Amino acid sequence: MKKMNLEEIQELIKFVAKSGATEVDLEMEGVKISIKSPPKKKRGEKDDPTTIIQHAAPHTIPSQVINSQIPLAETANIESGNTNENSQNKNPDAEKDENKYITIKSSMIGTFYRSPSPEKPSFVNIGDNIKKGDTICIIEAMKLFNEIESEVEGKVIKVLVDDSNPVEFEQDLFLIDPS
Amino acid sequence: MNLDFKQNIISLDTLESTNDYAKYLIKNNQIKMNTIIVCNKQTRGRGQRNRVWESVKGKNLLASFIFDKPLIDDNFLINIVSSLSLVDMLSELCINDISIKWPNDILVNNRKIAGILIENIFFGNNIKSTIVGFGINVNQIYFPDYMPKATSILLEEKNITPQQLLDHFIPLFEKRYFQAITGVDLLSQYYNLLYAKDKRIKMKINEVILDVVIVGVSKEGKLILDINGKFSEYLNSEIKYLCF
Repeated sequence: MKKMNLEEIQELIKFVAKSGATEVDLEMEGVKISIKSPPKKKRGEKDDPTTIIQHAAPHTIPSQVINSQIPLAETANIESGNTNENSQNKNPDAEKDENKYITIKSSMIGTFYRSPSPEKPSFVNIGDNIKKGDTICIIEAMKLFNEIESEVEGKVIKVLVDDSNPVEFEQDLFLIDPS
Repeated sequence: MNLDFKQNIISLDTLESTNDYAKYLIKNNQIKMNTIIVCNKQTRGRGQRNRVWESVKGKNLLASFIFDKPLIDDNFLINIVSSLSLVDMLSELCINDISIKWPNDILVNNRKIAGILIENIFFGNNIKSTIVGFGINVNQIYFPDYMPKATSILLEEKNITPQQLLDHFIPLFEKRYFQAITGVDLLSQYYNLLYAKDKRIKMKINEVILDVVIVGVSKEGKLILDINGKFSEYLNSEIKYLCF
């Protein structure tokens, strides 16, 4: 990849801001860029204090394009950002990776909750490594609360349902990378 | 066959909530058999999703029944079992006008006397434990302003301690549980006890106030309403009683 000019860096910042990602680390041709922005930005706040740090990195570091472990904000509107990330990721195994993911499905009809109660943090977030037996969500049906523990272990790639939304029997809930 | 709840009762003075403590024990693999957690006072007694259940210390029966290896994984059936056993207990005390306010309150003369909070723990698709939490107003006689329609066993002029009530209740609950697993038709008994059944009442349905008649409960536990001659099934999240 060729060296980025200022304009391209600005484009990149815009892309990151739009995608909802809160942190991106980039290393190439001896240049390391890391972009950090506060999460949950409101629409239209383009002049947010998105910070950019650019400094020299040791030449020995391989020119890997974008760190694939970008922590993404867990909102549905980052779906496009996510695909984009994959396309830039020039990883020939990318498609194969998708197939390796495990989908956790709902075993019942009800309302999907990501936290034990409204003011508490989510059981799991994107990027978390979950173990067998970890509680991943609650599905409520007729005021009866079903706490669901994971049968699988791996990394949470996607949460496919928003908090407090209804789910159907067999509906996909989580995408897990078991590797 | 016996569920043996009587053999393992953990009695504590104060807990945040008996259901939360039950969950804590399950998560730490400390539950090896059916167990009852009972306490005098809950500091964070819960209704659903954090609606507070107000209770004066020592006055009420606050208990959670933990099924170590549940035989019922039907969400609504365990609710029916719990509701009917509370009705049985109140009937044995010769209390009249008992009804079940779908989906999980027990009323006497249209005032709330008991509530149920059921939580299951699933490992993937398989049920691992069931916690049935009961809050029964026993000797409390004053209720806060935001609970205007509450009553207690004492207010219904019966004298019993929470401990005696628990002793009374355990076999009734176990009996209903056995009826459920042996296929006794409990749904029709549940339906016959429904609050406001066959009466025209006002309900808020998906934010609109309508005249409805409660005409039944589906096998999955949805409330069946007659709205202008048309029958539809509703989830609890879609409807709101206006008289409570």
